[in-house]
Amino acid sequence: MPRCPFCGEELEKYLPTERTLQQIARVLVLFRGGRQCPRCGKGLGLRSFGEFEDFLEDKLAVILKEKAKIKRNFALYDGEVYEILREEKSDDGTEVLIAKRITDEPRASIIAASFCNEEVSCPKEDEIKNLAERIDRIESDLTEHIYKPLAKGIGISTALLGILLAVSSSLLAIPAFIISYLCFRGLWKSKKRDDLQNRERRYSL
Amino acid sequence: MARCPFCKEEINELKMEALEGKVGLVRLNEWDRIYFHAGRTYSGKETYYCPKCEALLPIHNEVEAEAFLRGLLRIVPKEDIPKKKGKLGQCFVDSEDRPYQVLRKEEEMLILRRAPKEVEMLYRELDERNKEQLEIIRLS
Repeated sequence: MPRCPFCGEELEKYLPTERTLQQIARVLVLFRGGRQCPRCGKGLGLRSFGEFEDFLEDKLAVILKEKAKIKRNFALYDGEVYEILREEKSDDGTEVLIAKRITDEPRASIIAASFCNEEVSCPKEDEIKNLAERIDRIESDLTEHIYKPLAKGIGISTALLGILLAVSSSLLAIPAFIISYLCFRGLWKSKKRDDLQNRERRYSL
Repeated sequence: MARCPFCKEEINELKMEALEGKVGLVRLNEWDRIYFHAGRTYSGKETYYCPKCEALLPIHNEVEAEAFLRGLLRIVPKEDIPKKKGKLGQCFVDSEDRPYQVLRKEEEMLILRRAPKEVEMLYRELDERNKEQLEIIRLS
């Protein structure tokens, strides 16, 4: 049954029995163009006569946003499940939802159950505290038994690796130095010998 | 695979009957023979049957027939639906846990179609405690 969401007035009685121009005009005048409730005068947020007629025929509903539970584009209001079409604001700033009632039972039951899901899964304050304590304990256990030994191990292994690299590079450096020294010495000597030979040749001439 | 709601057999085709009408002009041609000039053809009401048990199925057009064969449309006899209802009502799900919604009701038959993605997601998010509040009917 269509009701004004603000004053609760049953509006079914205003539904035109015939679609005559006279009746439609009477209803439009009564509802001030389909925008306001004839009893409390608050805005209903309906835009066209078609919408307004659907509202009177209970195909469309106007529900208060603050009193409805909303999940995605579904709303639970007064024990009924609705599919939200859009949001509107009343003249006094009250937010209303233009919604379609879901009459299909299997679909409505799933949506209603999903609202229960939200209620059940919402943890209480004590549960949150317990959960926070448990998380802290797990964190401290992790740092004590895993992170610290892991960091130590990584530090020691990198230090050892560094020493190993230094030693190996120094060990390689000694023979390289000896080889280069010998080469240089050989070159020097051969050059000296060549000089001597050249000098001897010059003197002999 | 679709399943006949009456004989419960798996079917991959449907038997279809439709009356086709023709509208046109009949005249005598230049050799004095009767000649039908077809204007347009139209098909009347389509009826679909199970090819195995020949039972009439509550399918009215090609689109519904396609959806039925694809498994998107289910036909459930009302006698197969248990009377028991959960705290929040009944819901229909298939073997892959996809919920269905009522498309229409026809003489002792319930025609179901796959629920939209949003409802499917809501159903998958339900925990066991909330599922207990629903009477879940598994569609074969």
